[in-house]
Amino acid sequence: MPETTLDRLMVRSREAMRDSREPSDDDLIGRFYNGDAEAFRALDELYRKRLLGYFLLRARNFAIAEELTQETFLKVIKTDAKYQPGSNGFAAWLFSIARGVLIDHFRRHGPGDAAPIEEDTKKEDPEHGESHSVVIVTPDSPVGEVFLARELLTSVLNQLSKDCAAAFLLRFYLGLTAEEAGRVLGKTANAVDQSIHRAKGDIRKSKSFRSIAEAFDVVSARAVRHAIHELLEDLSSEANRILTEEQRQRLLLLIGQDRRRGNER
Amino acid sequence: MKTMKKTELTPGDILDLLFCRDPDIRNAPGRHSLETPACLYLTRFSREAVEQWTEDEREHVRTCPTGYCQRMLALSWRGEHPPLAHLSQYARGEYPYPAAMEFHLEHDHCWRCQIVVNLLKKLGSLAGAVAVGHHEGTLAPLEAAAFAEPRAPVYLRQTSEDGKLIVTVVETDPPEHELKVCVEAPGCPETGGRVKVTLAGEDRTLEQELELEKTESGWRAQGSFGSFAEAVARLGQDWVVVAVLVESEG
Repeated sequence: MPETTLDRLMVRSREAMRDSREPSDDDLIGRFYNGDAEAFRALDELYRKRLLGYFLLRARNFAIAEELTQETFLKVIKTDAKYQPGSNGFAAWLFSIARGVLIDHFRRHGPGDAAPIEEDTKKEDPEHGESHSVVIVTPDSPVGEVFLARELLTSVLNQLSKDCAAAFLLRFYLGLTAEEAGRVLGKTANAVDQSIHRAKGDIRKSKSFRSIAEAFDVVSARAVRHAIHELLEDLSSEANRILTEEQRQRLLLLIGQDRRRGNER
Repeated sequence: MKTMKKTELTPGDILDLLFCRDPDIRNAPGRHSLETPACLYLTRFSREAVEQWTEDEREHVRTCPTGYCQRMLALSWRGEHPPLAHLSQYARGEYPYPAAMEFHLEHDHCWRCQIVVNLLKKLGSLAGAVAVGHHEGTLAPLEAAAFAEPRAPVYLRQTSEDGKLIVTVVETDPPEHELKVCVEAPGCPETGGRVKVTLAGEDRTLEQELELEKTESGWRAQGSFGSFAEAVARLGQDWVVVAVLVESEG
């Protein structure tokens, strides 16, 4: 099965975060195959949340994501075709098992038990609240979501001024709060909100946005945020294009803090 | 010396930002939400480990307060099936982890195991060795071979876990072109016995009860399910064969 961008990035990201003094995945799985159950616990700790995230993005139901995560680990434990250290990397192998588990899940139950995509009730009030987060995707087609999210990312950001695009990217594609986006952009949270307000106005006027919007059902931003995970390369290049060097440094600082907090947990 | 500071954002940076901020993942516990400290760890659910559970482990799985352990047992069967001995125990109402089996049969809709369990329940204490084979794949008529990729004739051979029963399903050559079943029963007692053979597709079932005959090479029986084309039309492409040795009463 072909690896997705997300899988490759997960591997890269994990490798980048790992301290070189820690045992490698290959060491751990090798020790497990030799009967060391504790080594498996270490792999479990390293990959549990990533697997959970992978399934959550696709199945959209926490209980199912948890179950599929367990099933993936169980398959690693019992699999007849054992991982060959040094092949494509343990993470790539693990996520290929995860992908098989997900496909089997949808074969067994169909996509119907994915959590329903909730209607965004604030879409009627575009000037207030979360109206900006109303984005348009096909409800149950991941391919459609990714396609649309990519269209929105490139077409919307290209139409905005650099200032508005930066605020929009940080707030809605990268999930920062107004305060955090303000810190990255060297602005107040209020100024970020104003940029967003202007951005919304520009987007609403946009012909291409409307034509995309008309073609699909309106669902919550959450679904699109899931699809965005498939667009990491696009997002990073947009961020590098739109943000200044100084702003990027501040964003990287924030990511570093997130990582440290994540590791502490 | 001047140090270079990284300023380009990589997809990995974006990934971490998104993952770290997804509240569902951020707040996720480090283990399954039903798992208690007393629960068996995942590595104890491999097939080999299950057979070696200690008395304490068996007792915990049987009475696990959250149901986590039986759920994990059921998940460990996905992609394969519970051992036939477990299905037999369940059919007799003696299986110590019924929630796991019900999850496999009902939630996971394992029709292969449902068929086996129903058959074993019906035969009750008469059921002896059980052999279960699974056929998957297209069964285009052989006549189409001139126009399409020729396929190998059906040949499915399965031995029971205890080696007492061997069932073989074959597609015979034209012009008869039948679906035949042959049974060998090295485990048949001297008093003789029968073999109940069931071919079950997702919707339809074909059954045969064959009387074992003692031959020079042991206890054997064979039967026909009639025209191959008709049998396959009823069963579909995905079907199982279940053969159960039924020892003569008395």
